[in-house]
Amino acid sequence: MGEMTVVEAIRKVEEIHQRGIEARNRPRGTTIEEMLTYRSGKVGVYTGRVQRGVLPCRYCGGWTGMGEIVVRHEDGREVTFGVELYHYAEAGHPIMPEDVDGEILVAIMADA
Amino acid sequence: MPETLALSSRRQLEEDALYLGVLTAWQVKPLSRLEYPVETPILNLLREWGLTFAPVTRFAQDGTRCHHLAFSVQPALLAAYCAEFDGTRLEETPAVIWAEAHYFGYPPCCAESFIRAPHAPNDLTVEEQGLLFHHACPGCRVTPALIPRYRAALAVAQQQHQRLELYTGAAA
Repeated sequence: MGEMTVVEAIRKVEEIHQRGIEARNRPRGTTIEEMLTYRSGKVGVYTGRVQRGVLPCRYCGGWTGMGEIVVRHEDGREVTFGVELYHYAEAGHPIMPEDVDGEILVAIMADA
Repeated sequence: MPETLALSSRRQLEEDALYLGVLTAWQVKPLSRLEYPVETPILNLLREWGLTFAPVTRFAQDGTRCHHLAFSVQPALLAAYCAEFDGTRLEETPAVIWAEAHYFGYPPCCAESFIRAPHAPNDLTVEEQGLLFHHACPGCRVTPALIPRYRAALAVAQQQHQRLELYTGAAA
């Protein structure tokens, strides 16, 4: 099996995010930070910086979310990226180095 | 609405459309834009609130036409927005960000901050930032004063959304 690509890593993050939304049922006393962090294995996907509204993708006009996703590994490593990258990864749009630190993201998700 | 959108997302978008409508009717936002189609009952409600609409066509880099709907209680502002954006490419240059901030009622300090660092951490709580359609700048002095009006507008929008669902019989 080859090394995970940045696109694959982003899609894995989105999968955790989406599963978390569907399974949203936290016990009383959960903090907002905890409510908005969806966990899978050693990784937490924090969605508290995802903003209200949609944005039209400049590449294809499709709808993307706005705001930021924070991916945290339990060992302290962390990476952030704009939530529009979910759409970019799915649609095959270019994902540039300035969009996300791909090296850290892949390393975190490979050790999820 | 495209079938690919999850129902929960569709509900959120419907609520956001009403929320934008209230904010614009109250002139908290001088003008707003919908990037997605909404059901007729929602548009009718926005009209009842005194909003005027204008279709705006934008073009993505791959040539796709994107149909947006701008609305405002100020016809002259709506005309100015259309003159500036109708038929143009989708892009996020500093000039576009400044212009949109002007039309959409975002504080100039937040627009400037967004241009320099789009996701710079700010002092708002998650709940407060979650009310907004713009990212507040660090230490913003303008946005906090807007928060109560945004909160009140959202309450009205949620109430109206529930009422509409009763009439349109939207599926659970």
